[in-house]
Amino acid sequence: MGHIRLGNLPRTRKWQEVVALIEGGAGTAQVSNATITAAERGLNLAAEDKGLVETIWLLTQLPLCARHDDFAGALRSVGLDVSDSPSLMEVVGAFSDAVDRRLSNNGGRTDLGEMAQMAASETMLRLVGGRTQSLFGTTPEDVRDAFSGLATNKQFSTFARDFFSRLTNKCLDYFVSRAVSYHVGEGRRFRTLAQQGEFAKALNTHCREASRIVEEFSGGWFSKTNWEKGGISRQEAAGFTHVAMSKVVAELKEGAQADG
Amino acid sequence: MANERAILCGDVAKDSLPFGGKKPLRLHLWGPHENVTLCVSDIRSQLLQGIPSRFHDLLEIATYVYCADQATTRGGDGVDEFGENWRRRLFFRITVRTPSFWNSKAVLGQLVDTLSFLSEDEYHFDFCQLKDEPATQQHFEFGAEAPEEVVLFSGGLDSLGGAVQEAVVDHRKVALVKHKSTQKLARRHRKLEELLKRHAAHAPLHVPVVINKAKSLGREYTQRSRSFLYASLGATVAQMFGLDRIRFYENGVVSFNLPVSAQVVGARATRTTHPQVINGFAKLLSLVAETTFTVENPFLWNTKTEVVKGIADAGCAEMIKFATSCTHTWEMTRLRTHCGTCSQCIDRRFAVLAAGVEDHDPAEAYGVDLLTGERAEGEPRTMLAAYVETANDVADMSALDFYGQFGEASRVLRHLNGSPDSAALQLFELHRQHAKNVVEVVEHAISRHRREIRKRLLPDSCLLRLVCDSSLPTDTVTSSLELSVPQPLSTNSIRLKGEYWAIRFEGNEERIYRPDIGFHYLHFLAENTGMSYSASQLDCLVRRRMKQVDYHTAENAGVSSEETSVLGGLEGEEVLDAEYRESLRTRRAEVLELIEIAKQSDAVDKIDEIEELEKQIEWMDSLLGKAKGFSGRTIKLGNERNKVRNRVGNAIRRALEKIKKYDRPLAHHLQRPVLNLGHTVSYIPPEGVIWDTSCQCSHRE
Repeated sequence: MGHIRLGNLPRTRKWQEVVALIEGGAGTAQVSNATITAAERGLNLAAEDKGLVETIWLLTQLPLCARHDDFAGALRSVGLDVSDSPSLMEVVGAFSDAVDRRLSNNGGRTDLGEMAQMAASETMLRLVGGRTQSLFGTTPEDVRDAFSGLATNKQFSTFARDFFSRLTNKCLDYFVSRAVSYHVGEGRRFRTLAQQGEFAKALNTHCREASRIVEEFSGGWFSKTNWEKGGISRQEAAGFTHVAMSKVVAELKEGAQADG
Repeated sequence: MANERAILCGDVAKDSLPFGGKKPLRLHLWGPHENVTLCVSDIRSQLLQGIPSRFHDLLEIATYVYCADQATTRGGDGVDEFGENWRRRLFFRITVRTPSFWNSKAVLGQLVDTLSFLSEDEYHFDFCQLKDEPATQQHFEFGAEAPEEVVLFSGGLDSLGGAVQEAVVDHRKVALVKHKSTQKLARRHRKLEELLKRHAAHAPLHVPVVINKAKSLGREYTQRSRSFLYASLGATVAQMFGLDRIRFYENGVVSFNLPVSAQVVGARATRTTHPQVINGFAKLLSLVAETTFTVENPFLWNTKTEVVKGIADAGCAEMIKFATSCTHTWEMTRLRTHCGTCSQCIDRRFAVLAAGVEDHDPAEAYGVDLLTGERAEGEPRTMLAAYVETANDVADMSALDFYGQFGEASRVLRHLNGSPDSAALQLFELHRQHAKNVVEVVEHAISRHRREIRKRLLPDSCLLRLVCDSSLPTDTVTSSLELSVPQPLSTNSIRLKGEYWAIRFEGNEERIYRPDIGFHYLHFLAENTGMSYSASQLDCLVRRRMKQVDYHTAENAGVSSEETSVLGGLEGEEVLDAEYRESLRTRRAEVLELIEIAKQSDAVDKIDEIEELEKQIEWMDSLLGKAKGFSGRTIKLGNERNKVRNRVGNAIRRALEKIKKYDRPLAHHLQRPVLNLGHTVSYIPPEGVIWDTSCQCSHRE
């Protein structure tokens, strides 16, 4: 019981480049560039990923639900099975369940979608939890106000950036974590686990920087689409997903060129 | 989804399979093609009891699912496609006694929901009527005093803790259902039985289960569906004793099994006793039993350390060494019962040390000592690093940090008793307590082994060396973050770092490049800015230096040696010069005349002479032919100078391509007229661009 399955990077040229860069002491920007290049084929399918699209669509619905008179009812109408007075934890748990239900029997579930689902929970708890001052004992009004605040152009941008930052970091670390621990120990790139941990943090920071591009356009897209079309459909969410992922990937490739 | 399989269980038709029909897997629990056997028995009794048909079906379904799970691979790592093949699509056609029950929407839905979350596969079932059930088919062979509780017993520390709690602390009559996966554990299980009997008020009833299957069916080791088989076995035993509850005993941290690494996505961390799974089992078993059936994990809010302490507090510490946690049973020997490298071994040993009962868990039983043992590259080191780093992080986290990092934690909240808020708080406290236990063990060990760490007497790859920077000049060894020694960084630098080239341009982040001789040329040019070299001269100088410093690069292996650049005087000239060609042609004409004259003579001895002259003609034709190409153009001797120029130019261009990928400003800088790759090679940067080329140091000092 409690088994955990770990894996390695393939021995193909593009992945061995990633391994070599980690071993050689490359910074996070360069490692990210090489990783995203190697993983590009999988990432290009993001807009078709049922789990990822459902997650992003639901994220766009939360602020809109919070502007509704009947917050709980609005949440239920988009598939979140909540009580009449939901706390933040209840909303987040219901969010995860709603995505699971959409992917019932694992139809269309992928690792990318799974990572998106987890990133969404983390974003909600981090951002909304930060606004409500606490994760526990939040009143329905606190939760509603906090989600409602995300419906503005600026706040939705921040929300979207945080989500894509986490998702990007998960995606990169999904690959990089298979290689880094080979380079820990005396005489290796990371002398200690702490150094390895620092590298992971730097990778996170780099992803956060790369996700700035999402912040630049997501708020505008959210407001415009909602205003013009009277809501956001899954199809529109898929389009947004495609554009956002493409921009982040391009940014990560460019990031290794530009940043210092 | 590419990883599809149809599984035909029992005597069912092969037709109309929705997918996976090309090579369906056939499983038979009986009959001439039997390749799976299931036997549940209590060796003390041979009394046979009938099993309710739905539970009989349940047992067989669980056995088939368990065997198919092992017979169908998950397709390796599948990194490029984000683990596409990890999730399999499985279609089962199974003969059962009550197909209408199993095909009903409620039962089928619950079965699929539970299994799909448990193993992360996609399940489809088609239940058919079982005909010709063998009259002798009986899986169960026991009859004993009815127990009060049925507990699933794996023989590990957690389930031992449960058995001790039930039988020793609470003095209850308990049936322990255990799956005997390997005979290697038999002796240790017998010992535990003996000790439990000695300590308990009522000797537990042991119900061992054996599943044998054909060797060819063991292709996938992950066995994510195993707990479904366990639960089905336990529930059937409970049902036969008139009970409506079974208990799994598993510590909460392992039950929730939050990912310890970013690569651990979904069910790559088992969900064996995840609360969602436990609830799913309860709902399914309630449908099968037609009454409320409960499945519980009483240790859900306990850490493993607490479980181990519980065993010791009950006066049963002597049992600890006979409990087996390791999953690498193939490595097990009589003395070395634990590999020490799998997550279960790591978890166990931390718990034992944290609980202070190491006297009852001999260090010699571990293949690798948790704290000071040398850990092999790859999974053993990755697993340890992930486990310890996760604990290290969680120990200092606030609840906001915790839930902001472990999205998986919020998934479980609605499957726990109580409000999501109280469950969330409890879950956070549980993980923080576990993390603190781990950190305390590490800190205590650092303090105890301070001298060995400082003197580097421990293996490089052991845990204590991995968490301590023993290169620091301090006599207080602490678990450290990197202490960087600030060094002035050059704006532009090009240097070898171990095997790799490290280039910094305009003060930007250093870029790393894999070994290529092109970087050696660039390094030399950066060192000698403003100088012009012929390609062969540059090649000579660089290779001479490489030889001196004994560089080993992938690209220079097998390349012609320095001497190839030392040019002789013939290169570039024609294979045959005009004068020689003319003299050959004149001579050829003369020989042809001589042959003609010889042929006109009647002398017999002229035959040899003619043959000799014809040979000469053949030789001259061959020589003249080699001097001309297919189009009649004159062939020249190989131009060594051009070869060298091309080789040097190509190597530098190859390096520039790599630079272009990672460092566009530098690639832009290294264009004409700054870098010339013509007849002469030169690097003439604008004024002020100075390169630091001096340091040939390595990060592997």
